[in-house]
Amino acid sequence: MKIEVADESGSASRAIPASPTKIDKPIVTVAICMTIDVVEERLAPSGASAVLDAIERPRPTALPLVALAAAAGAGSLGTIFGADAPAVALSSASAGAGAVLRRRVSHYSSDAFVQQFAAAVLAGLVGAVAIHFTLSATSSLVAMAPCMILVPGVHFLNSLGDMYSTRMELGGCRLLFAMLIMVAISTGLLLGLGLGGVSLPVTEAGRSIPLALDAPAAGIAAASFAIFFSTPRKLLGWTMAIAVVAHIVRWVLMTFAGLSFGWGALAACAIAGAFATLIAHRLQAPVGGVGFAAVVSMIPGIFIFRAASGLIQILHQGDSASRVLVAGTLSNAIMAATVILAMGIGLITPRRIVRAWQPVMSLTPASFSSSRPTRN
Amino acid sequence: MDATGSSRTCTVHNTMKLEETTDLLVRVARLLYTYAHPTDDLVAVVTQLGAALGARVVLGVR
Repeated sequence: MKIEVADESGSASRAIPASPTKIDKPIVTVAICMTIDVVEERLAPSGASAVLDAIERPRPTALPLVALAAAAGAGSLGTIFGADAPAVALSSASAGAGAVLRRRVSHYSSDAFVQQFAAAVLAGLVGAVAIHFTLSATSSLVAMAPCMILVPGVHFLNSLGDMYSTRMELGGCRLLFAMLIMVAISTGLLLGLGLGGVSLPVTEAGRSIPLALDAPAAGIAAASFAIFFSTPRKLLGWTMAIAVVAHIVRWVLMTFAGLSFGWGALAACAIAGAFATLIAHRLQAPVGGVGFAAVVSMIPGIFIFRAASGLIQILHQGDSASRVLVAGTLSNAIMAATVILAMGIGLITPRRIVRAWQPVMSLTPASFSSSRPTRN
Repeated sequence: MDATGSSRTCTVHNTMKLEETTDLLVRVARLLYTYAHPTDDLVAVVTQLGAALGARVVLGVR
């Protein structure tokens, strides 16, 4: 980043070295509240530095909580994609262990990819055992569900937001970063499965689940992602509520109107984006803190992993690769790209519309003193 | 002002020198950028903070 500041005494220019690779919503919320307090003259400009001092060195969320969130997130995502009870239990245990492994790895390496890679290898190994011994009728989800919580949904969505604003260079870099993380996760998953002597099926029929399972699972998944993002507690209930509403809309449209994953994600994310924008405005919280966690469970990790598996199989089989395999691989890849694009458009558009209305909306802020965020 | 940086125009009493104002703006921009805040909101928040402190801000994010 580069900043140029000018006042009546002169001007200054600085380069700001920073890497947009972390996610911590309380820090963002406190920084924004501090800014608002300065603008609204509740905090002297000279006192703002002390606020920033307090938040620039965040403490990591407690490991048991992260492991529990990972287990709940993987189990609920598995449920949404049709996993049976044994698969949900196994994927939850695998994701919880993966969270502990990631924290251990983080003590030795700050590399942006190694943690996800290690957790994906573990998920692949557990999945291989499940497939080998037929522990579940949906064994492939035992491998994929723990990897779905590793998918860098926020980076994907931020990249689309930047491109939407014609910041193509930054958007492209964010997209590339997200894709490299996906490569690390997919490689780890396929390696783990390969070490167990199995591969991920490319064309596997999905199981539809009742709304009574889909909606609560979406709420639990949203809560899990909210914990990963260290979302302030005051936003947790709203995040879960938006996720449930968005998934009900998607389920109804896909079940009764026959919409595809892409159209369903577009409609669900548009509704989630509208609610998140209004709630974030009301609570003076970052929109991402409310909206992203609510819809990240729709990021189509399952299609990406199947496409990656298909590519490896095509590579091995060469000219003898079947038409079904090639078509399945392409279909998964196109579906993944379509859903991510639909999610980005769905989330961003309501914010643009609300922004266009804001000059005629009341911008009187709510009281901050009683809603100051606390770290989880 | 709200979390997206939209605000009525407001200038606070600021006794900070240009260097200190720049330091503060840099720290806010770095935090929001590092922790994956959407870029549009980041630019709006930093610009609005600068305006409140009586400074014109141009933030280029790449």
